[in-house]
Amino acid sequence: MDIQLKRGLLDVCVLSAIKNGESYGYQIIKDVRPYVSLSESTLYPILRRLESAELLTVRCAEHCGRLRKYYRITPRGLERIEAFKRDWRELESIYRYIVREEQGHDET
Amino acid sequence: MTKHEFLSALRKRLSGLPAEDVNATVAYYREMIEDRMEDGLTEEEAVAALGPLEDVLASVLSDLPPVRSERAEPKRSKRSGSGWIVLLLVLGAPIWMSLLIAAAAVVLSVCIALGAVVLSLYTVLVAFAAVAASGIAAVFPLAFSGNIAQGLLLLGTGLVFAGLTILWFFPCKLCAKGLFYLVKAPFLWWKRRSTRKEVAA
Repeated sequence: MDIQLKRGLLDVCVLSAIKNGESYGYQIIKDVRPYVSLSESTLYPILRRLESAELLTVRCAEHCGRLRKYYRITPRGLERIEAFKRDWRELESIYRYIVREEQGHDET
Repeated sequence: MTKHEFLSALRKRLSGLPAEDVNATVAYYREMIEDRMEDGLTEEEAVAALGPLEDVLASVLSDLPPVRSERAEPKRSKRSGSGWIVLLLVLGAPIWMSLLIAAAAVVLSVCIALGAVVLSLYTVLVAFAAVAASGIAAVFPLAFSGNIAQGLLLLGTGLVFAGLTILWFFPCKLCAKGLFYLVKAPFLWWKRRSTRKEVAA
């Protein structure tokens, strides 16, 4: 998939993975794995970017005698998901415009 | 590779970065390795699952502002080339500076020469006009003193030069205009180029 397109999609995917409660890095990767391949190295810059944009907050908590970072979505993060849904509807109409000729040929 | 080896190699390669960035990155990858081990992988497998260290470094550095990533990896510095150019410019200054001054002097002298030609044309014009005016003006005293023939000769000469003045005026004007455009042309060209650049931008 186009890198620019995927970059924006992955941001929303990660936000969506923590939408229903806080989660941690490896859990996020496992959650989105069935839908999109996301490596640790790809996730790291995304988390940093989302954190600096205040779309999620980070907290350190102890887990089995070690520290683990938990990510929680912010209201702005939720708004980002909603904005994506709105964009998607617009994208869909653009998509229909792009493929209209092919469909026209299929029907005839 | 063990977890410790991987993390210390990572820390070493990121040593140019601010300490907080290095610590955060190392902590992130430590957590990832430990979570995978908790998931049932061996230490070696968990480290291998992160991919080659170079790829990890590339993705960490790609996320940073360019100045910081440059500091982190001085080996990849792209400024060595410009350093050489600056050095060559400084060392070559005696050559290119004198050439530049000579070129500017040539351009300036050509401008002055052309200007002098135009100035001489105008001087001739003024001389013609002066002869015409004094010729016609001299008619009156001569006519009053009774020298009609001389008066007529001077009047004729004055009128001929008045005609020459008018005829001479047109090539003068043409040359002056030509010189004006010649001098203005580089500025016009520069202006058009910069506006085109703005449009393109």
